[in-house]
Amino acid sequence: MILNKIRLENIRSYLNEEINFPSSSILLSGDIGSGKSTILQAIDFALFGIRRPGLLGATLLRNGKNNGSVELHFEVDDKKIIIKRTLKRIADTVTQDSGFIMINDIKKEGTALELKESILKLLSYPKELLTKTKSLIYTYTVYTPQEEMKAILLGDRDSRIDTLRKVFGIDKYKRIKENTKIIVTKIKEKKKELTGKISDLEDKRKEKQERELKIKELTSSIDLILPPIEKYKKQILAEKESIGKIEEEISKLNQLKKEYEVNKLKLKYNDEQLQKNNNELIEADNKIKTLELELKERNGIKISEKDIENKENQINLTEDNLKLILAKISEFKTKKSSSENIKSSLANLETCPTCKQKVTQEYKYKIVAEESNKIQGFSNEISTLIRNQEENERRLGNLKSELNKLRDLQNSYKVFLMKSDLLEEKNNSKKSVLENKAKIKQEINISNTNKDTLLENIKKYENIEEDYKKSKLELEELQEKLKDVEIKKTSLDKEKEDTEEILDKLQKEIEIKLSIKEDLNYLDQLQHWLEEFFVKLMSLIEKQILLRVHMDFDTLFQKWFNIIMDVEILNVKLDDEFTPVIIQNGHEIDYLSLSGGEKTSIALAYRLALNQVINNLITTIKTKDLLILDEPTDGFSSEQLDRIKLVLDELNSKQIIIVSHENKVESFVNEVIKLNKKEHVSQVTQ
Amino acid sequence: MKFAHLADCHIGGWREEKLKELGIESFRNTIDICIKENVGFVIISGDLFNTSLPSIETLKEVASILEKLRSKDIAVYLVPGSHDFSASGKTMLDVLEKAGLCKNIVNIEEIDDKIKLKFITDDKTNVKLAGLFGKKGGLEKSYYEILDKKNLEEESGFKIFLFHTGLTEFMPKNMEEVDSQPVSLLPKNFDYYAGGHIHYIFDKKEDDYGLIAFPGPLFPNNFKELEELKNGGFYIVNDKLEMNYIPIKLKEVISFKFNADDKTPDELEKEIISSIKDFEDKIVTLRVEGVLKSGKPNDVNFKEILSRLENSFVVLKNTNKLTTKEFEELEVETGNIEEIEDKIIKSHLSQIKVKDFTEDKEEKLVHDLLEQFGLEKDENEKNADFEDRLTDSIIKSLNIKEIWEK
Repeated sequence: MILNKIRLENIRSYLNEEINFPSSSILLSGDIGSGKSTILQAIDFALFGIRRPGLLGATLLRNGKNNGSVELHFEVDDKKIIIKRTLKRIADTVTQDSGFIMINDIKKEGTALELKESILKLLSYPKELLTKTKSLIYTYTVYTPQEEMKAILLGDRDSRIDTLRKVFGIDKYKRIKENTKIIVTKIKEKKKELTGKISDLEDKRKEKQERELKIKELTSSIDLILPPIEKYKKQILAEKESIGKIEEEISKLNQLKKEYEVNKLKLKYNDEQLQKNNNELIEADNKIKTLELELKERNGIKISEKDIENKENQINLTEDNLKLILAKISEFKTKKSSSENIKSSLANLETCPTCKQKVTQEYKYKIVAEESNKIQGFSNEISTLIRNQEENERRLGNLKSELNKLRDLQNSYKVFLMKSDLLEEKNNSKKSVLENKAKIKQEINISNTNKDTLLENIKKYENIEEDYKKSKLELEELQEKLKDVEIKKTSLDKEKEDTEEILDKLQKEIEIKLSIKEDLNYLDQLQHWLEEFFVKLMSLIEKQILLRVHMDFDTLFQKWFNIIMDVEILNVKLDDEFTPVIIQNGHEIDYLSLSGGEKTSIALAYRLALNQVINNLITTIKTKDLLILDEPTDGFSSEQLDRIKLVLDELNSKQIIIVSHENKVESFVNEVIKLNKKEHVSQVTQ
Repeated sequence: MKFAHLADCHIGGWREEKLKELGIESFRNTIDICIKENVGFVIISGDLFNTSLPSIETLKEVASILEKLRSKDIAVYLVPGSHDFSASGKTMLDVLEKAGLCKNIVNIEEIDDKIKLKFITDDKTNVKLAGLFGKKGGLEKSYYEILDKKNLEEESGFKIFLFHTGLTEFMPKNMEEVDSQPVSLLPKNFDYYAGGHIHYIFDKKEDDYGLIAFPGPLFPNNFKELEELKNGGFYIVNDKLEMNYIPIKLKEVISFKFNADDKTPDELEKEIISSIKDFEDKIVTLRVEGVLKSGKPNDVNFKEILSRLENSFVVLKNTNKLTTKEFEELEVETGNIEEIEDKIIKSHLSQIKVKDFTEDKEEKLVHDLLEQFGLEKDENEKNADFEDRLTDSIIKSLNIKEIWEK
């Protein structure tokens, strides 16, 4: 990193100032209080923001101003970077406002923390510094404020070594060891939990053996039961077969019995039929006698249908005639009534209703005369016709009476015929009854014969029911026995099945537990590895790096001290806790007994050595080119001041910024930036 | 005639106040003896002060002591040593000289590319003195190399040469690596060669030269000197070159030395505590060195140990060579952090058997866990939530989700 320029606005004693930094050795020169250290603080602030307790917003922002900013231009590798941070006063507090970072003209706004993150990334500083309030590497390589240097030298050993461990990242190993302890504890807890889970593994194995034994026992018990079951099954089959046969016989017997019953019924029926036939015959004989008598009495005259038809035709003709006559009477009556109407209406008629001509009297008389004639004619006709009507009515009455007589005769003949038929029928029926009777008699004979045969056959099956019952009983007994053994077998099967199921479960449980046991072994190995290898390895690495740091640091500390002091009487070294040990006249003396210049020399040598060790060991960091020395010569004699020239020559930094109020230092550097404060405002005067 | 020969007082050299005071006290004591012995003059062969610009307090004390000599009219001749020499001439010795309390006898005359040294004659005794300063890193050697010795060697009378340089031929064995120069670089024919710089007591008569003597420091200057010399001293020499070494012993020194090899910090601490005794009002040096079999040097509770030594005059501790097996046995890996991690992981795989672990799998897992176990509790996260989050991610890495859910 090389600084190019810084712009301060309302920062401490500065109002608005821009300071350019050449890439060489630079002296910020000026009287005490002229604003030299402010520039260093501003650089620190621009890069990392405010930090407690060393760099507070309230001390940076100019009194009486509400806003302030620092804009720093610098280079890292080939990147040109501008970072701007701002401060604002709200009520009594001063806080960081957002700012921006511009890398190769690409601008990114960001919060204070985001900007710090970008800077740490650019400078390749360890990321864990982000949340820390101090940027230790910057503090101990680039810019160490005087108080901080003294604090590390004069502070207690523990906090010094703690800080250095943090700077070199060696605290990481301590943390790793502590964190490993946490994890080992967790592993132990896990192991305890898993051990709990397999504590009954032996019980389960034992139980498994017991169950296996049980299954064996059950299997042999089942094997013992199988032959009786087979035997009983066979016996039952045989018994069932025999029962089947008996049932067949019984069915035959039943058939015979049925047949016997049918035969019996038939016989009874035939007997009844025979009796019925006899009765029917008696009745038929009686009927025949009655009919023969009736036929003898009844006339057997036959009236033809034609005679009746003729009579009916005559009646019809007469009725037609009568109708004609009645129609004619009605017609004449109507005509007569019409003429009478004309005659009466004409008497009062004056004008012709049709032609509207006046009706003459004569015409009236003529018409009345004509109509009177017609009425006479009609009356005569009507009288003739009424006579004719009377004649026809009389004749019709006769004809109807004759027809009725014919019809009675005809009906009587029909009854005769019917009775004759009935007689014949009765005779026939008698004949069939007789025939049937003979047949029944024959059947009765057969049935009687069958009855004997059947009785004989039935007798043959006299003991079959008993046999059947006996067989059934035997079968039942066998089935009972089979059922018993089968129940026993089922119970054994069930028990075996249950046991197998349990065994299966046990097997699975044991498998899981064995896998847990394996896991436990693995965790054991890991724990052992972590405790016995990893932690010790970390201690070794820690020791090695600490040793390396110590060795380099010690060598460089002595080197720088000798460059700065060049006195034989004082020797320095670092003890194992990085405390400077000052040896004078061969014995160790206290830092506090040193003179001011000597103390400053120790501090400067320590600071330069630390800077170099960090730069050598943490190879990635990008701030190796820059070194800032804040009043490094406090208490130096004039001769000692001359040695600063040697220090600058020996330092291998591209850019060194020295803050000093010693005019002598001006001759050691390439560039001098003179600062002056007038009326509370700092300014660059050259 | 007799004179006192002091060297390497290193006044103000101790940072420890009591010892600093003892340094001054030793000087005061010496000067008192000199006065009592009525020496003709006192010579100091360099390093009166520990630095060219000692503190005002130190200067005040030394000035008042030297003032005693002046009041008795006993001259003090000295050369600056490697500690109190200043090339720019800014040295407090000048201040003392200007005050008439001492005389820097280095008197150089440059002639072309050579230098000449001039004599100073002590008025009271007519003894002639010449000398050359010492410089840091034996840089005075270059002056000797261009020194024109002729006038020095030819001068008659009782002659003393003051120098602040180690002489190669006479260097003690444990100081062989300290800068020195051969005797031949010294001018010949002096009666007495008053040497300084090398903190040891030494005298030898050398042919062509004379009596060469180093009195060592007036007061031990460092931890090792306290251990080895226990105290300092000086010579009183007469004109017959008879020497009398006067030890200056203001406080007894007791040195404890412990070896930490194959001990735990606790064992070592117990051993030290049970061994330290008879130290009341004494200067105690406590040297602990060796390789602890476990723990760190800082695990040894020195605070407790030092509290047991409360009644001593002063305690000085040196644990410079105390280290631990834990570090000694480790070969320091090279490379950056990731590379070190990687190397160590790779070389330690397959140590513990875990079902289905291959080296590749194990290595991948370690890297994975390095990341997952590195999780940190968020600022507002509850412990239980963090543990759950951690457990979830680790279970994933360890691939034991199935087991976990059983």
